[in-house]
Amino acid sequence: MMSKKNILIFVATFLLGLVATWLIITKSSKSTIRKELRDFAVADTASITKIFLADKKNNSVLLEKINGIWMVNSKYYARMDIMNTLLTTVKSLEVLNPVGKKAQPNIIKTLAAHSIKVEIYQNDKLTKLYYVGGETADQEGTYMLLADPETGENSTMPFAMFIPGFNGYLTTRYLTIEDDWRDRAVFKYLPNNIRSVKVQFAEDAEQSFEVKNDGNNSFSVVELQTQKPVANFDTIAVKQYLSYFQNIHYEALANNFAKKDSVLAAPHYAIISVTDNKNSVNKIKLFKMTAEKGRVNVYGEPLKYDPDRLYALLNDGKEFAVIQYFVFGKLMPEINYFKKK
Amino acid sequence: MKRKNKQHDLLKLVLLFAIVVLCNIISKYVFYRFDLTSEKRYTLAPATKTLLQNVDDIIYVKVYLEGEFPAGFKRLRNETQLLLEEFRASANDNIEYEFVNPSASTDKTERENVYRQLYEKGLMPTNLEVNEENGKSEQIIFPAAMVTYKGREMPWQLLKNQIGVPPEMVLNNSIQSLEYEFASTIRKLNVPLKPRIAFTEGHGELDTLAVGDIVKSLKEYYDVERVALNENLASLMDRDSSGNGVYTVRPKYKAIVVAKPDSAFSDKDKFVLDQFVMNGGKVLWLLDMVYTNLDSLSRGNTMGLNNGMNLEDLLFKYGVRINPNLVQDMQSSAILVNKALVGNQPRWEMEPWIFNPLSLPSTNHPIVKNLDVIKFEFASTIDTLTNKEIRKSILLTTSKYARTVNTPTRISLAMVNIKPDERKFRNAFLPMAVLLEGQFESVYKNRLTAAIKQSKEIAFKESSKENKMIVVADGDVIKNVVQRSTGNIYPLGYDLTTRQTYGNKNFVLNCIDYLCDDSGLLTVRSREVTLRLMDKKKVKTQRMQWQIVNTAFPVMLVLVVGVVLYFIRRNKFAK
Repeated sequence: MMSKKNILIFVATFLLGLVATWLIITKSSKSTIRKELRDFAVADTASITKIFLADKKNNSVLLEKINGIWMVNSKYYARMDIMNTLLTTVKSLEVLNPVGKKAQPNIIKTLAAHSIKVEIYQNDKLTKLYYVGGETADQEGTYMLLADPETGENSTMPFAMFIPGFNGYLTTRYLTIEDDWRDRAVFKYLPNNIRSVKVQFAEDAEQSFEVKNDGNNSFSVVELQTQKPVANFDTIAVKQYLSYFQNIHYEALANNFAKKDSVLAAPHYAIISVTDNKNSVNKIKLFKMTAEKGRVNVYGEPLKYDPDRLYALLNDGKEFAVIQYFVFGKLMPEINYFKKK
Repeated sequence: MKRKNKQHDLLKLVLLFAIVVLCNIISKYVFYRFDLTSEKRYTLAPATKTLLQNVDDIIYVKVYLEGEFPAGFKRLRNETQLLLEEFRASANDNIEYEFVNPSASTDKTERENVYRQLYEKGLMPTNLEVNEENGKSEQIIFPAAMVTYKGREMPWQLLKNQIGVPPEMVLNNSIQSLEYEFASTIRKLNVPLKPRIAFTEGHGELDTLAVGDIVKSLKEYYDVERVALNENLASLMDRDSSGNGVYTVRPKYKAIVVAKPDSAFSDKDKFVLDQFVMNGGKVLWLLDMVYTNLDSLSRGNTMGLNNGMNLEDLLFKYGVRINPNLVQDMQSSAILVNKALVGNQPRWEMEPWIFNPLSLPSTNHPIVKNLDVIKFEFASTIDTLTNKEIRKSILLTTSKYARTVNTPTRISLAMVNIKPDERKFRNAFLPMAVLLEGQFESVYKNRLTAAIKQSKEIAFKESSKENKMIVVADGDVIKNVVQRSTGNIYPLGYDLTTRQTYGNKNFVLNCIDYLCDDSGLLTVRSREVTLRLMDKKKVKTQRMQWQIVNTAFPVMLVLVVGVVLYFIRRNKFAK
């Protein structure tokens, strides 16, 4: 049987233990603001497997890491530049300042009406939930509010957040439109994975060609109009040409372009078809873009077509995009390009 | 039975040990201090407490002094945290703070971006030399914090650099200033309307470029304007008529700065200034009583002549006289002199110039306490007059080795070749800046016609209520260097010759703060924290001795107590 004195000491130890535990959990000597209120950042971004973003206009996007590749809504590859920016943001978020008591009701109200909900999943478990609002008056910070990922209950204390060393607000990094996230790649092939490339010009049909990769460093070039192989072609030029297909992007999607139908009704300019080693064909149809009124060439003569941009029908005609000669021009050389000089 | 007792004793020991550990953990988070220090260094001043009572929203302080650095800076960091805790307790938990390490990132570019951002926000870095195994390396730290209140933010510099002061003293002085500097930052953030101050013009005062730097700094806390007196009472004062012919007069500006005028004030302008003072306006006078032409000096010679500003009677009535003389001080800054022989390539050398005294504040007055040395150029001395209504505080003086020359006097560059003889500089601590406080009497008392005196519109006042003004016997104290060809201005106090930045800016800022502050907050600056440094000589000679005492003595004590207890118990139980 324990003596009274020992029981007293035991109880005192237990109580002190409780107090110490509570203090360790709730207080940090580096900050007076409780960690759970300001803990927006996710230090280990490698463990993030899913990010869900949704705004109040019913736009939402699910970014998912599938087999190590970030996908958008499980349909498209994600643009890695903005994906990396988002991950850096998620990692580096710090408190610029807590929102003042008097401003809190307004900020919370604004966040309730106009904010982006951010759900971050680590190893498929929801670990972080917060809302991203507008910018502070000096545009140095972005209002954010944490919520409990388990209960969904919002914190009562919004913060102006920022990234140390970066001047500007962060709302624009949390994009909720699917198209903004999509990888803009039209062609993304390693040269060895290409079986053939066919370029058919509508007007200058005699310039149409097909480049074939026959394997074992053996290539052939065919004039499409005559179906005759080009003799004595330059292998280096062919290799160079095939290497262009590694990173070809469109400028912007224009699916909702009002004059899309009239563009598609006009004769096309060219068709580029790429067949890979698995016999999968990626075919795009190019249309010239009418120049804006008032645009003239170097001689001051009015231009009929835009000298910089074209339209393209992608993904089996499902999507309509604006592309640039600067990017696509090198994919459409004249057939002489392959001939030995 | 014996075994049971043994178990109980063991349990008791474990529990007691646990209690000690837990008490230590708790005391890390919850602390209460009894301020037993003689200087009450851990007790906030009443003015600070009053200020904090008016804080009604969250003040967020982000302190960038976190990481690994020498003991002195760790002390500054810990003192800052203790102070923040004190403030927090007095501000109903409206103060939140966080310590952040700006060098935390391992990526060099990221670190540099953070440094750049902090610098752009006004936080000043300090370079530290760190001893490492392979030699020395440089470390950048930011002994500073950013204070945010109601969406406005303001930097708070924790470390106050001082030229020629040992690092320990600089740190100690910085710790002493913490309360004032933080309270002052809060006050500036909490002011709904900035007080208005004005620089007078119309008498050859320094132009906007020459006071550009101080105006820029003042604009952070004040609305700064320029005002021409134009012999018009309305230039400095607002007059409201209640309709029955009675006028309420109040100063338009909290304070005015008269910065180095070079021509005479008319009697009407003097009347405007006098009535401004009588109605409670504060004045910072920066006057050159002696006119010297520096352009002429570049040709070898110049003259020091009496600068007739017609302000003598005004200042005399307020309690001071600026003498028409020039101070020569052995503690002085330098000028560049061409030492080449005529016809040869110029050979510029830096030579001490006794007409440019450097004043190291030695008084404990809050305006000048712990300030860097202040640079004067062709200063005069100030005499204070016996006037019981006015309290005079000497703010700045010459060094121990000074003298004066009366005007008119010839000033020659060749004087740099004569080595000053200490025996000839026998006038010590000649006043060059004086604070006047009290009820001032108008210089126009008993000098006006009955019509003016009784005019309700003029509303002449014979004396002021409690008021204050500062008189500095050198206009150059507020003048920054200007590159006229480009319009670029250098920071006030920066000396192109020595490439040093003197404390002129902080001096002028403190003067204006003191004149405009009715809360008495500036008095917090005069608090003294005694630096209890170890005697380095004794440390060197007695180091080992004290190390042995400190390590061996406690062990010996425990052993002795153990032996004594053993014998006591043996005696007790042997019976």
